[in-house]
Amino acid sequence: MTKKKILIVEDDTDILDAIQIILERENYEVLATTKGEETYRKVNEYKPDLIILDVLISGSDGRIICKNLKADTHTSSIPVIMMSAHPSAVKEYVQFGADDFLAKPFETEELLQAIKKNLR
Amino acid sequence: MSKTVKRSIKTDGIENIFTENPVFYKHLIELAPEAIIIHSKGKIVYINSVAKKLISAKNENEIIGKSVMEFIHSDSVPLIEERIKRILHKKKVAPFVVEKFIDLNGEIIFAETKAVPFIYQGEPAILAILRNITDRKKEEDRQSFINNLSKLLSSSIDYKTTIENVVKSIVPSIADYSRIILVDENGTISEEVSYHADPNKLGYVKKLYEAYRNRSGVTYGVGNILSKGKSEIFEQVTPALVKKYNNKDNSLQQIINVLGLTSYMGVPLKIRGKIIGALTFSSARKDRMYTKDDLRFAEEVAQRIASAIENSRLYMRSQKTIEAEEQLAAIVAFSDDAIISKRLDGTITSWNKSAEKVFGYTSKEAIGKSIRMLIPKKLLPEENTIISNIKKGKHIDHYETVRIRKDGQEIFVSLTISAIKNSQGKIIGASKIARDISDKKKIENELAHLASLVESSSDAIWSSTLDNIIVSWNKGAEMMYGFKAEKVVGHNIVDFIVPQEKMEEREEMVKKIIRGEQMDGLETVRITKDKKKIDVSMTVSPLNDPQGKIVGISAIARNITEQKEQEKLKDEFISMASHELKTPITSMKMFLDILSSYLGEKNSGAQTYVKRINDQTNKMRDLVNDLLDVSRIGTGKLSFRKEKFELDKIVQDTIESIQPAAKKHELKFIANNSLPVYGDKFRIYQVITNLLNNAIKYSPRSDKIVITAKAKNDQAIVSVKDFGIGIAKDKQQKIFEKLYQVTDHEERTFPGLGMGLYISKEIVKGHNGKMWVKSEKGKGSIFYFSLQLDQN
Repeated sequence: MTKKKILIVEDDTDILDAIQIILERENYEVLATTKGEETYRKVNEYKPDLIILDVLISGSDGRIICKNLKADTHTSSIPVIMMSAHPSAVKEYVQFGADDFLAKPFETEELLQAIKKNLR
Repeated sequence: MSKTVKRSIKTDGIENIFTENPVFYKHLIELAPEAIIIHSKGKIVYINSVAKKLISAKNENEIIGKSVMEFIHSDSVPLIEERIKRILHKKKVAPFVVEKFIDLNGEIIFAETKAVPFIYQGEPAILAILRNITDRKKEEDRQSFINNLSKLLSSSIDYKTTIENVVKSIVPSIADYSRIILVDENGTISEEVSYHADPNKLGYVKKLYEAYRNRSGVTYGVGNILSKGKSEIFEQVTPALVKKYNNKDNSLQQIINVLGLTSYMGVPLKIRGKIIGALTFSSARKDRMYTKDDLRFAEEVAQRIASAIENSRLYMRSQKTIEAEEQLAAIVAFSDDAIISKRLDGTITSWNKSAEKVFGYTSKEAIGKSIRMLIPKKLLPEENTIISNIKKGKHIDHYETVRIRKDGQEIFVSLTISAIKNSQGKIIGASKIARDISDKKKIENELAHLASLVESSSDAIWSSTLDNIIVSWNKGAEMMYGFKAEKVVGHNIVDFIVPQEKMEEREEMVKKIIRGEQMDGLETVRITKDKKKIDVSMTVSPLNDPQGKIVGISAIARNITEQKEQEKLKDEFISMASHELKTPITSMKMFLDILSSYLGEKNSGAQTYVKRINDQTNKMRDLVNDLLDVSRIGTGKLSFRKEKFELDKIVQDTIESIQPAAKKHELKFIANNSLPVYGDKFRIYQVITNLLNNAIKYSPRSDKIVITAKAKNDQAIVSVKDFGIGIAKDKQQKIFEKLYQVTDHEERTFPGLGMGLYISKEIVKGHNGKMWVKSEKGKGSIFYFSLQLDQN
């Protein structure tokens, strides 16, 4: 069984590292980036099975990135889980095409459940 | 025939004298002092010289052979015909009666007449003896008129009624139409009364008057009498005469013709040489031509009328004076104002009831004393100024000053002072009206104080009518909205400061005002003169008139734009801060999980610490969330994702999630039916969690919490009962306030920011539910909240 590939886009390196460690321990293949604008290139090169995308990434808006990915037929089928510490984001994620949402701070278990659910 | 004559002469018994001496007989008749007329077969056959004079004939040829009826006035025709018949047929003497005749000039003659049968040239004839009583009759008529007039003049003290009656008594006995005009002191006509024997013609009489009264330079008529004060007479009015005076105005001539004016006289009404009116007599009869003698009589009548009118006027005036004096006395006696009079040296000469009340001295104590006893020492020079002004004849009006009562208390008074003059016009004293205005002054001071508060307030304070017309507008309003008072007062407030999107809200507000509701801290948006939108907090109240009717709106508005911006900044800061706090918590939690998994099950001691760090991290997370909720409530951004759910299930779930952490307490749940509600289940979960955590926290020495979830009417009610420290009565409302900090020493030992109950109550409120508490200090508390059951 090949490992599922997960791309994490998050500007906070601590969160990025933590998620990466947790996911690798759970046997996922992880590619991480702190730069929002690199997302499209990484998606095209790496072809992830799932994307974890922060809403506010220094310099770019995760919601717009999500919207663009979902508008592109090559990438629209990849599930996107958005996460944010901003309370109002939970109301918006659907309208930008994201498949799921995690309010920061979340429990590790919540993260893993969400990934499992969306990879199905 | 001769036989009968003979017999009749025989009966007279004087036939011998006549037959024997016809010359003597002729002389006797001729020289008789009475008028004697003999007529036969209706024709006059003889008259003596007295009779000639009676009928105004110069010689007998003017009369002999004429019909006797020509000289008889129509009034007397039936009577005379009857008498002639009797004389001729019954040969009887007709005794003296007064009959009316007409002379050759057409004048009426009254004569006492006796007639006897007679033979003239062998034919039956009548010899009539006439005694002229015209003058006597006229005198009698005049006397009876005067008697009647005197009666009329004394019958009423109202001269207006009197002159009407007088004019009516003149017509028709003396005139066919008559008029009385009265003038006032300035010579202006004040009364006019006309009367005509024929009511149909009265209109013409009035018309004639109207036509004349405004004509200047008229040389006859009322105007002439009034200006010259002299009588006038036109003994015989002929068409030529009328034409002479009215050659320009044909219509007047026509009126005179319709009235059939034949003779006219007019006399002034004078009293002590002063003209007070005019009286006119007009005849429309050919047999009533006024003479100089009539004019003299008219003057006599006028004299009587004038004195009666003057008397009546004097009487009425004196009545008025008496009434006025009585009224004045009553006014003085019962006036609320103190009314005092004093001599120029200050000696008090009169003192009314109110003066007793205002100054405390009785009239006995005050009269004869000096007015200076009422004046404070420092104001004594003022009295000298007043007196010198009064001496100069100046009037002092509403002069506000201070006086001293008998008890030494100073009072504010408003003085009105006038000079009192004696009958020679010399100033001998002063009358003083003093009004106690202490209350008014006090109110004025209070009002001035209030007015200055309103004016100096930085809040906008204004009032309007119920249809939004601005009545007052203070400086604060000018500053806040940029419109000057003179620009907006009298105009509709809606045209100035209410933005389009707030029109409806404002209409609702006015409706509430009309219902008598007051609104406090109403936050809304208004527009300034520069078209800038500002946030305002308003207190709006109904304005009542003294009867309690709502007649307007008063409003106090504070500009809270800056405050709002501050709040927004604060909320943005809190939002930002909580976001920033959440980010490290997120990684901390994950690293703790990673650490825990590295440690594995063998390192149970270390695992304990990891768990404790995780618990503390969760607490930090909850605090950050609460802080965020509080800031959202403040900005009205607390939103709910509502759906239908079973409240009893959520209570059950919450209990199950908390029970493991509550090591000491047993959470006992009592529920007997399903409670479907419509709401945000995560938020309700948050509420129950908060209540359970509080119950645990504040009952450290007990081991039981009882939770119930029940339906009552259309409400689902959840209660959480603990047996802890309880809450004092005076604090039971405060605990729901934002960031309530307990001051009690004991309670202060319990941790927490005091956000939980505030957030819970706001969440329940956002579901149209209620939250309340029953508690007794030291015994425990029961917290309740209710939500509408969703029955569909």
